[in-house]
Amino acid sequence: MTRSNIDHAPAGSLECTAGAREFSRTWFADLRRQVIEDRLPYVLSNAEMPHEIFDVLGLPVVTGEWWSGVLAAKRQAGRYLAWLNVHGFHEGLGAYNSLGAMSLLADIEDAPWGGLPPPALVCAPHREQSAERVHMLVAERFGVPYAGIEMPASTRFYPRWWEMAARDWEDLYETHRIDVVLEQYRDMVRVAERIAGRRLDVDALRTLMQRVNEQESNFAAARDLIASAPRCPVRISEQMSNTMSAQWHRGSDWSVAHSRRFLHEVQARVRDGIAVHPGERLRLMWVGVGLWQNTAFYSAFEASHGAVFVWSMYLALAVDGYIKHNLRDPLRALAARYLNLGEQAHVAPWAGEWLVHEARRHRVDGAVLLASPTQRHQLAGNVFQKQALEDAGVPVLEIEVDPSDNRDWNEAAMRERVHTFIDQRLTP
Amino acid sequence: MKHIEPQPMPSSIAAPQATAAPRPPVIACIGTAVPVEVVLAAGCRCQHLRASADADAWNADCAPMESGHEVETRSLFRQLARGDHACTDLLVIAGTSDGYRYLFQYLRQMQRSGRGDAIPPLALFDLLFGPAPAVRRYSADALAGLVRRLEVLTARPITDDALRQAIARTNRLRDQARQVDALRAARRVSGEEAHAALRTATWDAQEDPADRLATRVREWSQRAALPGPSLLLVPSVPLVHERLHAHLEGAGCVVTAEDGDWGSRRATPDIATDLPPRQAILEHQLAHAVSPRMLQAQREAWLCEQIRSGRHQGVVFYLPPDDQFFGWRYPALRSLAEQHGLEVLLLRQEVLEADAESALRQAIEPFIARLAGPQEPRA
Repeated sequence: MTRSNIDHAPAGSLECTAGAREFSRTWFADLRRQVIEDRLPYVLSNAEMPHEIFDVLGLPVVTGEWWSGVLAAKRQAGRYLAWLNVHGFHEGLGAYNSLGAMSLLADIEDAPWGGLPPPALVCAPHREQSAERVHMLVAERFGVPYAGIEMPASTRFYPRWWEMAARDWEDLYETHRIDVVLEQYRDMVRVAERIAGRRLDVDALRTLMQRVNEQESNFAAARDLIASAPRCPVRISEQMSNTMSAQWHRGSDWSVAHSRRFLHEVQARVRDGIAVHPGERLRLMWVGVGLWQNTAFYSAFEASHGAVFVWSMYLALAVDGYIKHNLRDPLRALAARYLNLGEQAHVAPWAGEWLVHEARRHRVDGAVLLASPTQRHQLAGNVFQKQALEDAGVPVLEIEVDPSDNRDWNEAAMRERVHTFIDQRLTP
Repeated sequence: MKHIEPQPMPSSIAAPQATAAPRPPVIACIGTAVPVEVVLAAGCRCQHLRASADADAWNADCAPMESGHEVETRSLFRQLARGDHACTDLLVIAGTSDGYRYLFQYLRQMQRSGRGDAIPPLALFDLLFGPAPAVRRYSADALAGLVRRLEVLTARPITDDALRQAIARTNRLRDQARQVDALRAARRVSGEEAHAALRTATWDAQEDPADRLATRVREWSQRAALPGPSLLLVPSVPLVHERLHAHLEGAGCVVTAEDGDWGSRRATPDIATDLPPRQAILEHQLAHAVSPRMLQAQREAWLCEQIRSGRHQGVVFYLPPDDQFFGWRYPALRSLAEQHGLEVLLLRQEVLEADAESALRQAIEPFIARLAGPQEPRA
C-alpha cells in the first residue's frame, strides 16, 4: 500500500448502507400493506429464534429487536416506555429485548412507519425468565398462538467456542441440550405449518441454511479485511447496520447479494487505502449491544483523538455464531445455533475469551463496555469481560447507558468520559 | 439493622470429632426445586442455602458479580465465594431462575479461573417446565443425573425403598404445612409466626422439621382468631425474613397467605405414593416447585385461585427495586384483584433497607386503615 492511498480523504457512507436502509423501509411497508390489506400472516419473533423455518414456510418474520432498534433510532423508545409506565409496568423492566414486542400493547399515535400490525404467531426462547411473560402479553392481546422455547442451561464451557461452533456444534452445545430444543422446534413447526397452510420442506430449509452460510462467509471475509487493514475502512455503525439488515432476512436473495455488495465495497476501500479516518491513531472496540439510540456517538472521537471504533459484536457474531455445517438435519443445526448465542456475547468464559481474541485480531487499543442497568443479561458477565480484556492489555471503560432509550442520554457527559479514558489510559 | 445470618451449620457437621464415625456428606441446596427426598435417600445431610437478610451484607461489593444482580443472587454468591460453605460436599443449584443460573455460571467461572478454592463442588439441577414431552424427558434426565451424582458421592445406590422412606418423611412435613395453612385461613396465627415456622422447617438440623412444625400447630390450634383484615402478600422475590409481615401486621392486619417459595406454597399436596418414587418426585417438582422459570399459567394458578377465593380482603404486591421480572405481570394481576373487589397496595421499597421504615409506614398504614372498616372477611 502506498502512502498516497493511506492519505485518501475520510470515507463517506458505503453505497450498500443506503441500499440496506431503503430495503428495510420498503420491505416493511410491503409487509404492513399485505398484513393489513391481504391478511397475510406474519410471525413476531425474538432475534434468537430460527427464522429460517418461517421463511421456508412463506411466513414473513418481524424481529422484535429489529423493531426496537427502529424505535430507538427514531428516538421514539421513550414514548413507548412512558406509555408502559403509565399503564403499570415499572421503569426497571428491561426495554431492549422487549420494546419491539411491547410496542404492540401501546396505543401510540404516529407510530414510526405506521407501527407493527397484529401478528399471527409470537415466538421467543425462554433464555431470560421474563421472555414468556412479555411475549404472552402480546399473544393474548391478539388471540394468537405463542411458541415459547424452554432453554436448557449449559453444563460445559468450552472457552474457545468459535473454533467449534461451525462444525463441531454437536459437542459444543451438548447433545442432551440440542435434543430438547429440537423437539420443541418440531412442535413449533407444527403450529407454523397450520398458519402457513403448508408443510415444512426440509430440503428447502437445508438449502436456505447453505445460503445463510454463504452470506456469513461474505461477512467473514469482510471481517478479516476490516481486522487486517492498516486503518479501519468501515465505521462500526455501518458494519452494524449492514450486518443486521441482512441478518434479519438471512439467506434471502437480497441478503446474500447484500453481504456480497458489502464485502466488495470493503475490498475496494482496503485496496484503495480508504479509511474511516485517515488520522487513525487509536482503535476501539464497543462491547455489548449496540447504542441504537445514538450510533453517531461511535464516530465522535475521530477528529479529536484519532480514535476509531473498529469492532462491535454484530459482524463477528454473524460469522462465529451463525455458520453451521453438517446440515444433514438442518433443524438440529438450527437448534444448536441458538442454544448459546446470547451467552457467548455476555457470559464467562465464552465472552471474555472471544473478546480478547477479537481484540487481538483487530489490534484494538481500548474498549468501551456498555452496561445497561435495566437489562440484567446485558450487565451479567461485564466484570469477567472487563478483566479478560484488561489482563490481555486492553484498557476498558464501562459506561452505564440505555441502548434504546435516549431520554437520560447526556451527550456532553458521555463524550467527556470517553475523552478522559482515552487521555488517561490510551494515550502514551 | 438486625443481622440475620443464613442457617448456621450444625456443629456436628462443621467440626466432626476425630473419633466419631464418618459424617454423612453435606449437600447444600439452592432453590426449592432441588428434591430433598433424593438427598435424604442418599443418606446425606441437606442444607438449604438462602440469601442473608442483612442489607449491609448484600450491599457490600461482591466482585466479580456485578451490583446489578438481584439481592438474592449477590448474597448467595458472596457467602459461597468467601467460603462460608466450603466444607459442604456438593452444592446443588436449581436452574429454575435466571439468578440461580447466573450464580452457577459465576461460581463455575471462579473455579475455572483458580479462584474457587472455597467453593464446593457444583451441580446444576436444571428442571425445565412445560407440557412438551421432550421438556419432561429433559427434566427426568436431570433428576436421574442428580441421583447418579449422589450415588457416586456416597458410593452407594439410592434404592426405591430409600426414596419411599424419604418421601414419607417429607410428606409428613407437607401435612403439617397444610395444617398451618388451615390455621392461617382461620386466623389463628399471624403471618409473621407462620412464615417463620415454615421458612425454617428444613432438614438442616437433626430434629425432624415435621415434629417441630407439629408442635407449633398444636400450640396455635388453641388460640383465638386474630382481629384485622386478611391480606394476601405477593412478593416478587423469595422472602428470607419476616420483616414485611411484621410491618403489615404491625399496622393491624393478618397476612393469611403469601405467594413465595418458603411460605404458603410449601403446603402442597403429598408426593404420590402409588407411583414409582422417582416418577412421583418428578411429577411433584414439576407441579409445585414454585420458581420464576415455571410457565406463567402454572406459576399463577395458585395466586389466581387465592385472589378469587374470597379469603383475603387485600393484596400487597412487593416488587423491590431489583425486580426485572414480576413487573411484567403486575398490571394484569392487579387488575384481576380489583375485579374481585380486593384492595391493592404496591410496595417498591426494599423492606430491609434501614431508611425504608417511614416510607413503608406511610404506604401501609392508610391502606390497612382503609381495609379495616366494618366489613368482615368474606370467606
